[in-house]
Parts: sequence; C-alpha cells; structure tokens
Amino acid sequence: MRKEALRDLIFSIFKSGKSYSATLQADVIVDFSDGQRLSCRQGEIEDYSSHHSQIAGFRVLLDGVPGYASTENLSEEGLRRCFGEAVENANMVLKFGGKPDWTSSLPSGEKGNFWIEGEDSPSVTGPSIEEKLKAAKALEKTALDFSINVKAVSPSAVSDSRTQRILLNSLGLQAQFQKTFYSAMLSVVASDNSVSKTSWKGQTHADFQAIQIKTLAELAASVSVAKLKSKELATGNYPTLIDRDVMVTLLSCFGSALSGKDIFEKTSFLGKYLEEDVASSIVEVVDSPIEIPGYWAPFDDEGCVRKPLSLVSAGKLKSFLTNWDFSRRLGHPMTSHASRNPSSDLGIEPTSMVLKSGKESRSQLLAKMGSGVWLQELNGFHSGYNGTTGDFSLPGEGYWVENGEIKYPIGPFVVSGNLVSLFKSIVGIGNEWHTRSSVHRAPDVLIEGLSYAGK
Amino acid sequence: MVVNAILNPVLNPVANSAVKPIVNPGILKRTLDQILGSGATFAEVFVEDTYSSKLEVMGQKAQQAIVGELHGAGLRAFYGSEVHHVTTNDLSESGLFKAANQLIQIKSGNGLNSVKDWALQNPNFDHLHVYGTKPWEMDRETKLKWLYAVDEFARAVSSEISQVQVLLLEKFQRVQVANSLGVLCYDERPYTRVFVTAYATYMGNTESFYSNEGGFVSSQFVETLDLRKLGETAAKGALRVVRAPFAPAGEMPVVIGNNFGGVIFHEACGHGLETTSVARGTSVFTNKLGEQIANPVVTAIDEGWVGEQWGNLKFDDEGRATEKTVLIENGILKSYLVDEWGALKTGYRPTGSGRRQSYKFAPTSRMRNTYIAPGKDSFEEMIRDVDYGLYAQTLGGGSVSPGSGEYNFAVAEGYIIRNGRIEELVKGASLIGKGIETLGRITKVSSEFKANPGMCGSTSGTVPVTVGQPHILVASLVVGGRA
Repeated sequence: MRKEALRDLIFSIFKSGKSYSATLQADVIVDFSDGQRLSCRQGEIEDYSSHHSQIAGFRVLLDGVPGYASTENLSEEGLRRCFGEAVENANMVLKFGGKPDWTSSLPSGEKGNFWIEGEDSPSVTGPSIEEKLKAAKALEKTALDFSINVKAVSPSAVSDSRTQRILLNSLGLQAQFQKTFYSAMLSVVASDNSVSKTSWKGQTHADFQAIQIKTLAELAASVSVAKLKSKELATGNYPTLIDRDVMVTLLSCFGSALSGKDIFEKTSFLGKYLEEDVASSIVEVVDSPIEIPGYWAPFDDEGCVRKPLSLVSAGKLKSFLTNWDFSRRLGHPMTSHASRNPSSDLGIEPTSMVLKSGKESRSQLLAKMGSGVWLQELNGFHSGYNGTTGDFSLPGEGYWVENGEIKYPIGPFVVSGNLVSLFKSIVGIGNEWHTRSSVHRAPDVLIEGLSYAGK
Repeated sequence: MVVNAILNPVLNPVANSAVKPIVNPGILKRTLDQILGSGATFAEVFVEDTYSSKLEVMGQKAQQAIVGELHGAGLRAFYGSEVHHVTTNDLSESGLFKAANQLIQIKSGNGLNSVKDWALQNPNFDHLHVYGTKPWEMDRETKLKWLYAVDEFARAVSSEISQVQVLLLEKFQRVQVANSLGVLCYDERPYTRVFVTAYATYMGNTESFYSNEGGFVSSQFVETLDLRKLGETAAKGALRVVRAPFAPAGEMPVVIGNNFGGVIFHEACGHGLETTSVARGTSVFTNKLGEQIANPVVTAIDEGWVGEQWGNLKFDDEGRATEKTVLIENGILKSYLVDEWGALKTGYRPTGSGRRQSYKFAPTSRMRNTYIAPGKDSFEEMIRDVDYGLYAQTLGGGSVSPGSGEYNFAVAEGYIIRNGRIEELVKGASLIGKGIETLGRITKVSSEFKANPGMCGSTSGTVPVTVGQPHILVASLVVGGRA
C-alpha cells in the first residue's frame, strides 16, 4: 500500500471512531524497516541476515483515557481490527479503572509540517554486499593480526538499518521521517593459555565510509590483550578518572531518571532536585536533538517539535523531560520528549544528551588525579543500577595510575556509588568526547573517589 | 503455588488433528524446495502468529492496556556452516517465495538446481498442548480485579508504601516449523506472568522491591496464585530494603539462597555451554567435555519440559523435541546445549535447544529450565560454616562474557553472616566471579529446591527461562558494596 493510500485509510479509520464517542481522539505510528547484517569468520561469510518488517500502533483516547493496540497486518481489515482493540482497551480502562485522576489529550498548537507527498521509501545508495563483506573481513583480520594472543573474533559484523516512521493523528497531524544507519562491531577473545579476556567494540554512522574499521578492530584487540596482564585491585576508595566511554553510559542513566512520568509517579531519585544542586558547579548538560545529524526526527512521538534543552547549568537541575501529557500533570514546561514504539505505550526519553567538555586533556586529568583508577569499562547496568535510588554496584575494569602515570591494567572489580554523589564530586572535565557508538556525548570526567571491591 | 512446585512433568495429550496450521503445509514445502534449489544443505521456515497483552495498575488506577500481534515468518538456509536468514510479514505463497528469493540471492548466481523428492511429516509429538482459553477470551474486568487485589494487599502492609505497580503480561504464541529434515509441526505456547513492584519511602528515601510469578500456562493460572502473598512479598521487601545500610565490599564466603539463586548457574556456566559460543571457540568451556569442571557436589540439568515451568517447550524453535539434558554430573561436564547449527559445527547430538524470541531472530542454542539438582547438605549447616560472609537470600539479574567466563549479578536482598548466624540486612550488593572458578568453589548444596521464572537476552533475542537451585555455599566470591 502506498503511503498516501495508507494515510487516507487511517484518517477514515479515525473518522469511524467518532461512532464510539464524539470525544474520541487517536494517533498512530507506522514503522517500515529493513536491514541486512553480515558477519564473517576465518575470512568467509558466517551469517547473513536480512529483515523486512512493518507495524502499526494505535493510541486511542476515549474521554481522555488511553488504550493501545499494534499489528503487523497492515491490510484494511488488520488496521480496522487493531483500531477496534485500542478502542476496547481505552473503554476497559475507563470503565473498570475508576475515575481517572487526569485525562490525556492529543497535543495542539505544537505542529510543524513534516509530510512529504509522494516519497515512498526513497532509494538508498549504500554499500554493496561485497563492500560489507570486505569490511567484515578487514575487521577480523586486523584484530587477528594485532597479536598472537588474539585467538578468536566472533562476531565480526557489518550491518545497515533503514526505518521509515509515519505519525498521524485525528487532529490532522501528518509527519514522516526516515533514517539509514550503518554499523560495524566485533568481539575479540584474547588468551595466554592461563586466562581469557574479551572486548566488544562497535561504531554506528549515517555514512558507511565514516566507520573506522582499522581503528575499531585495533581498539578491540588492544583492550582484550591488555586485560591479560590485569592485576587485582585491593578493596578501597580511590580517586577515579571515568573514561568518556563509561561516562556516556552514566549520563544516559541520569537522563532516564529525568523522565517526567517517573517524577510524577515518584519513582525517580531526581524528583526533589529541580533548581537544586545535582552536580558539581562545573557541569553543564544539554539535551540536543540536532547533535547527531539525521538521527532524530524533528518531531517527537506525539508530533511536537523537538528543540535543544538545558538540563543542568552550573550544577543545578534546570528541567525534567516531559511530553504533552506529563507536562500538564506535573505543571512543568512541555519539552517534546514523547517516546513510543508502535507496540508500546507512550513514554518519555532523552534524545542526545551532551555533557559539555572542559579544557583539560586526558594526561592533564591523570596528573591532577595523581594516584587512582582510570575506569575504562563498566557493565551490568540492567541489574546493578537502581533507577529508583541512583545507587549502582557494577563490574568494571581499568588501569591503575600512580603519580599521573598509567601503570598496569586492573580488574575485574565492583564499583559502587550513587549517581548524584558521583556528579557532585566531579572536579575535572576532559576536552575530548568519546569515540564509542552512542547517541549521547561525554568527555572524560575526574571525580574525587569511588568505592571498589576487589581482592 | 504452581511455579515453584516440585519438578514433575504434567502432560496433556492432544490429537494433532485438532490444530489448524497458520500456513498450508504445501506452501511451506514449495518454499523449502525453492531454498534447496539454491544448493542449500538445510532449509527451514518458522511461522509465527502471536498475541500479547499487557495490563497495568499503578497509582491505584488502571493505567494502560496494550495488545499486540506478531505475524510473520523467518526463513533460514545453511550452505555448509554458512547461515542465511530473512524475515517477512507476508505469509502468502508469493510473499514467502519473495522472501526465499532474498534468502538465496547471494548463492543462486549459477541458477537453481533440481531438488530430489522428499516429504514433510508430522513428528509424533504426542503431548502437544492446545489451550482452551486464550488470553483474549477471558474478560478483562476479572484480570483487572486480580491486579487491584495485589495492589491493595501491598498497600495494606504499611503507610510507608508510597507506590505500587502491578503488571499482568500474557503472550499466546502459535508457531509452525517446517524444515528440510522433513519436520512439520505446530504448537501453541501460552505464557502468563504477574509482576509487582512496591516502593517504600522512609526518612525521605525511596526503595523498590519486586515479586513475580509466571508459567507456561494460560490466564487462569493467576486464579491459583496467592495474590496476598505476591503483594505482601514486594511490599515487605521494600520496607526492609529502605531501612538497610549498604553491603560491605570485599572477598568473602557467600551462601546463595534459592530465591532466583539459580541465576548464578545460568550466568556462571549455562551460557558458556551453548554451542553458539562453544563451536566458535569463544567459550571457556570449549573442549572440556568429560572433564571435572565443578566440585563433585554439583549436578546441573537443562530440561525442556518440567511441570508448568516458564521455560517450557515441547519442541524447540527448530522443530526438534526437547529433552532432559544433564550438563554436569557430579562435577563432570557431560553435555553442551546443542542446536542444529551447533550440531553441524561440533558433531554433537542436538539437544532440542534451538530457541528464538520470535520469527525476527535466527535461532541459536539457548537454555530452557536450568537448575542445580538438590544435594544433601542442610541450610543451617552452611550458615554455621561461615564466620563472616554474605547470605544472598534473593538475587536479581546478571550477565556473563562466555569468552572470559566472567559474570556478575545483583543481590536484591542480602544479609551479613557473622559467627555462623544470619544478622543484619544489607542492600546494593553485586557478586562477580569466573564461571569455572565458582563451580569449583561450591562446597555445599542443600536439599531445599526452588525454581523461578526469568527472561534471558542473547543473540537470538529474549526468551523465557526458568532458573532453579537449592541453597549453595560458595567458599569465596567478590562482593561489591561500599568499601
């Protein structure tokens, strides 16, 4: 079905919804995606996969109460049935959920023009399968050639992904956005017969040629080989230089805790910090949908126009993240951070968060630290990070530093602390951003101390 | 309590004639022929039609109701050990043929070959389930009443319970698998899970704690649950944790309780036994079959069908009957978890362990219901053996790197053991270790077995698994807390 025909069908479905209730409002997100992934092993193709998918997700507001349904069957029958299920869900919540504290509505007055007539799945001139295979082989070979201690590279993979998103609502909003991204990734196993260590690295870019295959492979290989010499760290508290690759993940946790939904439901530790000190006075954080060109749609998943937002200024928390619904529930400005996949309910998420860089180089920060830990890896966030309190207890690895000089690799160990305490103890910020694949941006950060569990 | 029942298979024979396939077998056969014509050594079509539902009560109100449908097929071909996989939402004959052409595009440059005669046959899965009541057939008012009841039981525990979230998650997956080994089978897989998170606020601090029950069962399962216990467990846990100091940091003996304790074996060892990593030489357990890899007190099993456990499958996502796979017996490695590709690469017999989240993922070897078998030691004796250590009563999630064997997991509720006695509660602990080292340090295994549902994420997506174990004593582990 062509895009215009799909749009007309959905608007007719919206119109039919008025027979349920004159006050019914609805929106729909339709995603079309396709992509390929190719991995190689010992110079030959090991896996080749290609996916094509389509899905539509309705949100129906019946007397302001939401109901959701999604389907991968985009026939007229499938879409009408799906819409009916969303209406039923809204009706059920309205009928049995008790009187709602709050009635939602579709956004109004925030609309831009995001519809391009006649553009169905624009052709993409990306790399051929042969070019991707060549890149995957180069990843593997570069890593294997790096050291005799590199025993295996699996996977060594290159992929691409295209997504077209269409957002329509019963107030007449029409919006669409398409993005294409390319990724390369590898996992390297190094061994010296007594111990094995692994390292996973990846990069994602809108331009396939911008992926630095050799740099990526050498980085993964060098990290896994270096870990073979790791020493145990004694349990204690140490000054810490948090590597930018780690800091970007901590920044992401901080952003998730700013969700206006969690603040409203009193399940986030950041609810009490608005206009209060939440970080050291040298910390500035903005949320910027324009940081990675082509990655974020100009509209959020309710159709509101996205714009940059100051989150932390001089260490003070300046704003939560909201969508149309929760800005009104919280009495907080609307920041256009609605997030929804076709199969999920409406939520709130940051776009690209940027911890502004400072003026000090990594070597200057190491010298400033004197002796302590250069924290290079932190894992296990899904279980070791508590989003209610901001407390964390996570496995990590890094380097021991003495008098500003990098001495030897250390780990694994467990690092424990609290996110607000960590941000408040920042005493230095690096002048370079990370090189890792992430939608967020952060430099190295020096903090006064963290708790480590080791031998 | 259904989920934590003693492991005891309950079979429900149903005639295969009762089922209605998603796609006509003739179309599947012709699609497989199309793939085989490209020179593929193995061809497979996995068809799926799945209904899912999520109901949420939060803030004492019904907050959301979501239903969703997955409808598609994953086509897979082997060319030797090279694997190709494509997906499509179009289950018509022309849609499947189009997907098959995409699947073979790299390999069909020299034209298609003729395919010798062969036939699809329905294997005798004499215990396939066809469930009478589907999630969409049960009225939602009843379901909401369950959730409201759990919410009330949790809130009634204390005025310090500041928030409660109750979720009912249901999935009804219909699958059809056909492959060039001649397998043609169909099954219906119901999953039901209730998940409760309670938040307690004390002296300005808020902490959360969760409880959950789930099984390979239809929605009526919830009627068999003790909803009061479910709500109170979460609430009382939150009230305890919000008052607790942080765990200490350092290396010490740890008694791992049976409350989701099985996750330690799942992470420390289970993933490393999957041929997905063993066949590539990226597991620390590669080439260790027949070796003593654990203390002799350890026997570990991965089983395809146990009672109504969450990780159940009658046949795996490659159409092979699941089985009871003894992985470690008295500390000796007896078997890996083997899927079709793993069997091809390693020569080991497939164990019915090929799994995938949905048609969107190619299957890989995965765990099902995995557990450490009960031993003979007593829990009290284990505690008495420890001068200073941690009793990790309830565990959270974890992860592992099979290449190094290094794993980690969180402790949801832990207690200090001092002079052989369980003393104060501590929060925020994590445990780290290396799989083989930890298996060797398990010195005691108790007889009190318990199994719990969990979700496991890996290469082929997120799948339901059961983890189970009795209490175990690990002589030494690094406990992450506050130094």
